[in-house]
Amino acid sequence: VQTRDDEQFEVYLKRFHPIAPEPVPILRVGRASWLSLSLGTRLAAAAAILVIGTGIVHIRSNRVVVPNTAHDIAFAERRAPLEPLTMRSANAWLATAPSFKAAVDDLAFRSQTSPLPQGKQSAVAVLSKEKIRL
Amino acid sequence: MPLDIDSAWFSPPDRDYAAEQNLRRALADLPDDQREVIVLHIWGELTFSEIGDLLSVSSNTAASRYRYALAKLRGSMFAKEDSCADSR
Repeated sequence: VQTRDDEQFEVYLKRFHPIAPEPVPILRVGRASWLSLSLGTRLAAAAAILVIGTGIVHIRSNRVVVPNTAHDIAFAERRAPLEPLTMRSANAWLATAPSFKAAVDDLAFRSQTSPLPQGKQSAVAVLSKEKIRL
Repeated sequence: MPLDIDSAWFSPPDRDYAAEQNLRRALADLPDDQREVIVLHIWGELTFSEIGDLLSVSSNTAASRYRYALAKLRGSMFAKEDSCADSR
């Protein structure tokens, strides 16, 4: 039961007018965080990462292993004295070489160092001795 | 949402800002369930039946909360006004 005092107090309170609340700030959706992305987008991103990772692992596992070049160089250094390059000598060289690459490298080096006929000079050797002013 | 006691809640009559601050503090001291009934009935102008529907309580409960709240509010406001008057 309301008393007269209560009614008067209500009238007193109603003289105060509530201030309108401030509008609720609107969140801008400009920057999309990882959590706000949809499930499909997150799954697609995860699948893309998985595919790229698998590709990298596949490429690395199929990479051609380069043989130990130090061993090949040692083989080339202790090769036999220079002799004319023939099919027979090339076959023999390939049979004894530690690797195909080492044999090919050494044969290529031999072809460059074949002796020139007497009285002739290598143009490369002459040019390498000259001092060229640029 | 927590109450911001430092910002004004009402535009007071006759620019009585001390009374507005007094009312704000008295309302903030009320329990939440009593404060919401006071606000809905006095400034929202809802009946106790409407408040009961809104808060999922009976109209009697809403009226009871209102009476308790009004008594606390009056006691709190006038006690503070008296203490202010005594201190002058």
